[in-house]
Amino acid sequence: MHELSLVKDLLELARQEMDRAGHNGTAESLTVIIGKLSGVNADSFRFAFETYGSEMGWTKTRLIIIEHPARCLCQNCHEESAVEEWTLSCPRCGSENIRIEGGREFRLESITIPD
Amino acid sequence: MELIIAKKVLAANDEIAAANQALLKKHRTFGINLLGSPGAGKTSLVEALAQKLKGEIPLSVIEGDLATTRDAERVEKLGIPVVQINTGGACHLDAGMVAQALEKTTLPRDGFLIIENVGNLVCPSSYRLGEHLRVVVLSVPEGDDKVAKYPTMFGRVDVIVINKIDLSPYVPFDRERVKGDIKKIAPDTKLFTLSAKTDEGMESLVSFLKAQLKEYLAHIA
Repeated sequence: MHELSLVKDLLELARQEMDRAGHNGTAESLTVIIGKLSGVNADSFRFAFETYGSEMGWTKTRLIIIEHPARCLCQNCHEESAVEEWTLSCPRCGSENIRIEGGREFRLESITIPD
Repeated sequence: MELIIAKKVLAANDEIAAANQALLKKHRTFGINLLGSPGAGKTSLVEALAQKLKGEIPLSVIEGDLATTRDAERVEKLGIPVVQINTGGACHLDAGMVAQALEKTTLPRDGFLIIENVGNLVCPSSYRLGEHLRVVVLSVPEGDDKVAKYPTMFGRVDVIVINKIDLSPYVPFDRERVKGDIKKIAPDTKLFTLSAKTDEGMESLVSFLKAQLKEYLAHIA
């Protein structure tokens, strides 16, 4: 359960970026991309944001989470499948000769601030 | 108005980690982030490595724990400079905590700094500390399914050490199964099988680490 400290990191980054843009008010929303294999649980992250975020004065900010799947590249049937979790075999043909790519992202994508 | 950021949430951590790494480079120190479950034998491996490197390659240690200074005391007994970080409940070390500890740490020239992380197979995998090598310890009694069950950890390390192989006769542990899972999850990871207690297999890990250190020093020279 490290989502709480990740929320802290997110809010620090958001604050820093808003300051840089010369906006010292609050944000309307934060859009975060969480890869399915990033080790960050989206539900826990939202929960941590709602509790810690409001404690830190981000009550009015909406958290938008976009989850990115990973890709399973099968060396046997050459199918590229989107996978929601770590897999040890190709979802299509069952071959274990696979490579998993992507899904490790954990980014603050954008911040919406009042015009 | 929408501000496009597209930055890693852990960008701040990564920046501090890069500064830590630069500090290590300045002192010609090779940093190792030592990971694994509680009880996997991380501190025992540090002790075994200290014995092996004694008189040849200098070593310093940073110990990360939620509470107590027990691990630091164990390492100190061997005459190794050690700094304890108590995370006060946090389940992992981050680069900022390590930066503070580095201020108090003797950084060994042409030697190793081992940062023993909090025992946990989940959270520490997200945080870069400024290390040059990530090593995870998996012990035989934990079971042969751990690589597959904790892919975010095992998929993000450079070296996997299977420890406590002296217990193999007493606990079921299929090494081939582990090797198979590693091949799928982390095909480029180096694997060592050893017992920090009996010394079996230690030599090949030590040779590997020495080679890594040599390459690193040649690279920065």
